[in-house]
Amino acid sequence: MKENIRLIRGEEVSRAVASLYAGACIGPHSSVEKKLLEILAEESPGPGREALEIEIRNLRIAAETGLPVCQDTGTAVVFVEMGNLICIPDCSLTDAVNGGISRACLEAYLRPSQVFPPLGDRVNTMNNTPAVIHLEHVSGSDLKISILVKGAGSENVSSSVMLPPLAGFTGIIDLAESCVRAGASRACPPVIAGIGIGGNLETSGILAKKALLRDMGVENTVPELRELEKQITEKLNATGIGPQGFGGKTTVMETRILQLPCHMASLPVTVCIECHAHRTASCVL
Amino acid sequence: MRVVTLPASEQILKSLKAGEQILLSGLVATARDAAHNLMLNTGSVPFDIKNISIFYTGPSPAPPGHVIGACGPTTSARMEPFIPEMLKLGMKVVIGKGEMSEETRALFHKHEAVYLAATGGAGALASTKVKSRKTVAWEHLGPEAVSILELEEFPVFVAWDLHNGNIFRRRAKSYDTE
Repeated sequence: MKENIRLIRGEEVSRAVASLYAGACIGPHSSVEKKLLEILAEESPGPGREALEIEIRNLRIAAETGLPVCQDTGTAVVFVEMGNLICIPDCSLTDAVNGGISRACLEAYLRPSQVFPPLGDRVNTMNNTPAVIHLEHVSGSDLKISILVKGAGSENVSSSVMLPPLAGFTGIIDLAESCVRAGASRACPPVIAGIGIGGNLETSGILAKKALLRDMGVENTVPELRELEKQITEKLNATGIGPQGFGGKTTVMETRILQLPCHMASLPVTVCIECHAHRTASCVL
Repeated sequence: MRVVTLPASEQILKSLKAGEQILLSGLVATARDAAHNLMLNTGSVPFDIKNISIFYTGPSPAPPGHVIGACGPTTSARMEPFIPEMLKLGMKVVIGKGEMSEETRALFHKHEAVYLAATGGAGALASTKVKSRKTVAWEHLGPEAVSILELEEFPVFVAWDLHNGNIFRRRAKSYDTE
């Protein structure tokens, strides 16, 4: 049994995390760019369309210059799927991940945005740690790391709610609509709506974040959720809020939903709004 | 597309139309949450607020060879509690992103101030439009320090003009009337 254990040094994990974090902040972001170009082709003349052109130009400038796409290089949300045969003998996974975030922040000139304590002095930690780490222990000998660089503009208009258990599809649609109508212009649209349904108070939020990691253009495998995603996207785009809130056909690029079982007396839901830059990266060690 | 140089004359400000994209040149001061809090608590604004416009941004660090890092706009709505006082002090032009409340819009109108919206998330592009940067206050705040930037043809949109025009009302009619 012993020979099946796979040792990965903390340094290797840190190096991978640093590379993912810097890469996600800077680009290139080919799938986002492709999607924005598709949206541009549909958009009528006006400031919304012009803002979309600037968003696309910006993605290219970032990739060419090595500057971050956005100065808000976010809270680093790191999802780790760790095989049961993996062992990191020399440090904790938490330290290895934070080591990578801190290194990328300093070496790639990313903005440190974490402050502590949250009340009062709010002193910047100066290396953008701590990251938010979600660990899933799975079987196997792989270590999969995915990062979502989450800016505050879009995070601040997101919402976690405990809905009445029978609020149903309508309840989800209404919640997504109220988030987008109230806040989309501040979230750098066209946005992606990540929705986590079920679990409990804390897992619905994690689910919504995880839903955002789905690749652009990939459909939900659950038929009812696929239909719900389509309905939500159509309804939100009918608002006409448009790119940057300047008016237009596309306010939401995609809706992405994940679900989990929940208590019979609850319906926890999180709608997590993600900005158009949608900075993600992943790798398998 | 026309170039507007700051500080802009009353006549130029009056000619701006909501929805119009302009290229902005001239001086702006960076300030966001912490700097606004300090300006109002200490009663001292470390730049000439009547002639230097405020740009709501917290830049990322400048890599070697760059004047500044990414420096797109941050959410204007977070600065709303500070806006009444800044308008009283003579603020005429603000650059930020996203919609703010109708109450704030009425105040802008009263003080004949203009709200310009830059493209949120377009921080790398913004960086290429900054010709110089000088930090003038609260350097210890890092990205939240107050710096004077010299802009050259930075693309922004007129969000609120002096004639009640509002870029954020260019949306589906059914939502406008609700």
